[in-house]
Amino acid sequence: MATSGLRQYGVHPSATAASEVGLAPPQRTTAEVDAVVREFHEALARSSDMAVAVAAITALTSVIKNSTAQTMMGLEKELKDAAASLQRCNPTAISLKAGCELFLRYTTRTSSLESDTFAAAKKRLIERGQHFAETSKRARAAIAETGERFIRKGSTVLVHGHSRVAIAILRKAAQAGKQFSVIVTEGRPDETGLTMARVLEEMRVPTTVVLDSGVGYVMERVDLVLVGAEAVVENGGVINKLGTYQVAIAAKEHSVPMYVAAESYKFARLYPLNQRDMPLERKQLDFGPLLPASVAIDNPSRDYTPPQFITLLFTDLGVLTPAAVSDELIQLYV
Amino acid sequence: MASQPFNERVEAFCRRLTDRRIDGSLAAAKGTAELLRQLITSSRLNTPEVMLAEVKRVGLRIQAAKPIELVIGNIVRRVLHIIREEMEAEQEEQDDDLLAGAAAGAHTPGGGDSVGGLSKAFRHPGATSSRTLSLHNLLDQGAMDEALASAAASLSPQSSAQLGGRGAAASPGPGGRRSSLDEKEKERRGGKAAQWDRKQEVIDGLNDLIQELKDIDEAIASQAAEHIHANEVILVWGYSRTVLAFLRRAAEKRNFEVVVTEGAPTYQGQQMARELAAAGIRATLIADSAVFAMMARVNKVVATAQALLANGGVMAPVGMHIAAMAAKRHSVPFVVLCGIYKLSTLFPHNPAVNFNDFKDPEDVLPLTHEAVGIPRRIAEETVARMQAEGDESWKLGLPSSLPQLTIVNPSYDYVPPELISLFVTDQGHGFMPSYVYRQLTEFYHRQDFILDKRQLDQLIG
Repeated sequence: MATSGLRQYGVHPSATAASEVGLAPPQRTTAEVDAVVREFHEALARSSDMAVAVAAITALTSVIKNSTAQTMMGLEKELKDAAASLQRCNPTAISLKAGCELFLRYTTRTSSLESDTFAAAKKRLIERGQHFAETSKRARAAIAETGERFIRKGSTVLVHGHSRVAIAILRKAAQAGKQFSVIVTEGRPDETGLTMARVLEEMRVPTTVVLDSGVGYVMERVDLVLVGAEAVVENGGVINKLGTYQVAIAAKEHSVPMYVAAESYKFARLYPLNQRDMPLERKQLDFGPLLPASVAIDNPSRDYTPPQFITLLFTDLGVLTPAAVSDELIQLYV
Repeated sequence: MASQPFNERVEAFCRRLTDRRIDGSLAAAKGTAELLRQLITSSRLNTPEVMLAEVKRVGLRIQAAKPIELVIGNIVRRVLHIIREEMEAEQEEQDDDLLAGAAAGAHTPGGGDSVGGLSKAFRHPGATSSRTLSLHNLLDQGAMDEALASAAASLSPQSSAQLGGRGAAASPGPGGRRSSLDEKEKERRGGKAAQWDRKQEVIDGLNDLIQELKDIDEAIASQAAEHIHANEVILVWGYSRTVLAFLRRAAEKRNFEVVVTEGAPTYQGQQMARELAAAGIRATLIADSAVFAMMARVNKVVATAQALLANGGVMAPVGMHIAAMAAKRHSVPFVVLCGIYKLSTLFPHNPAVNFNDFKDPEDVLPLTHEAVGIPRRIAEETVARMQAEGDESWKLGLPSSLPQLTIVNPSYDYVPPELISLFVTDQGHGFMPSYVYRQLTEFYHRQDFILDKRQLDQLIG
């Protein structure tokens, strides 16, 4: 499970994510692994708006439901194995790992109580798991409520990447009748900018798109930067789509506040010291026949933004400064 | 009714606030605290829930009189925090009693054990409060609602009454719990008006708060000798009672000199220089615009704050941001003195405008000044000319090409946290801006951070 220790230098264009990480041999039978992974994908497919971590927890809840274990220890072991399988099918998804860890931590803590019967405890865990999906929906609404106040009328917001939480904030502000405009970055290579532009168009918010390299050029007109996060790390920094760090540097130079919108289950126990110090995920990038074959392509999907570039984080726990994030994590894991 | 004179007193206080007859935030804080103490000592408030609701109602009324005075909200939150702490302490005692009773076999296994077990599940050993929303009880939040709803429907009235109490202590839940709450009220009252056991503790807490407000300057000044060293040059901006007390106390032990800026447009810095000199401290008076030039010779800036915001920034007397930037440029520490009662849970959504008070433009330019008179004269002449020519368009509004003069006189400046080195408060130790979030949860309950959303939206505009 620990993949952050590995570093790979010099990437061959055909390298895949799986070959980057050391895979442990599977511990469960293929059928059981398939079941939890299938449940996970089904949960994701069921709702286009569902976050990866929430789908994982839905899958883990179904593991509890179908479990044949007779003791809490047996159940915990099944859950741990199921979580490991989920993470194996997507080893670089940090929010998935963070969500699983939170749920596991929670179940191990609950199991240490005195409760009358194992059946009652199991029932309670199932209810918790089902509640978590609700928590996620509530989280976005709570974040939209607090974050919306930071969008002033007449302001220009720069967004980078496709974040459903950021969209929720902008939607809330638009519904409140605030006049504001948005600049989206193109977001190569997955064209997140176009997706965002379509959503903003529905909200009737005036939108401008710029190239990723146009961020420095446009920053002098920007009043605030709003991004989502794939994970929030222990020192209050964030891991997000490639280019977020660049946007943060330009924002700092122009004294533009940078706000990150993230649900609290994305808080991860990671402490990257530099850009390579986190699970690497590389995406294929094809430049066509004009690029000589001997040229290496380095296309990670995300980067790390240190906390000094972040002004505030909007979470369902409230508005937090980067320093407050560590405190929250310590309270959970100590 | 006994509440009539109290309401009148509240209204009188609100009128004085609106008319700006209350001088300074400390006076506003003291007034609010004393009114709330009066409210709580009244015999009507017998249960904690009623107490919370009434304190919040009166607090919001006072805040509405002067939305910009953030200390009012802070004091209300402090009082709510005191009440909630007592409620939690009471719950813990009850839980312990319950568990003890269950161990002795006094309760039926179904009711007693599950109640004790549930409460233990929701408590994290290290947490300051099990009810505040935090990462470790994230999954419990939804669960607490359903558990309490199911338990309220359960058999024994006593356990449901206690759970009803816990339900009220937790964040507001569905209306279904209110029935158990009424049951509990009836249990408590037992038919006659009985007092909440912990009411006296709450009143004691309030007395401590009021005493704390009286000792602010003294508590801050007692730390002066630690922060001012021999032969230092200290820069201060304009006039501040707190800074004056601080420097006077330091002068008893140390030899140092002070540079004072005038503090236009009130020029109260001149009075500050006078009082420092009278205290035997060598003072130099400079114009505000000379701050950058002087900063190279300064060792430390000691500033005051109007409000300490939740991100570690402050609202300080206007011009302080200039001093902070000059200090940063010259690597001079910027120390802010303020009482912890000024700590607000609000964030600066629009720093230049929010929480800023705009004062009389006459302070900057009197009405008799010719610069003020010129646009008016030109407007009158234009209207007269248009009337003489028979041009009626002046009725719709004067042409925008006419000269206009607007005078803006803001009271405060926003100083961002990255320019501040240290906060020195009456709580006895200094802390950095990045630590403010911790102070927030120490003095206030998270669910009170925003007292009233509508009021907040009106304030930030």
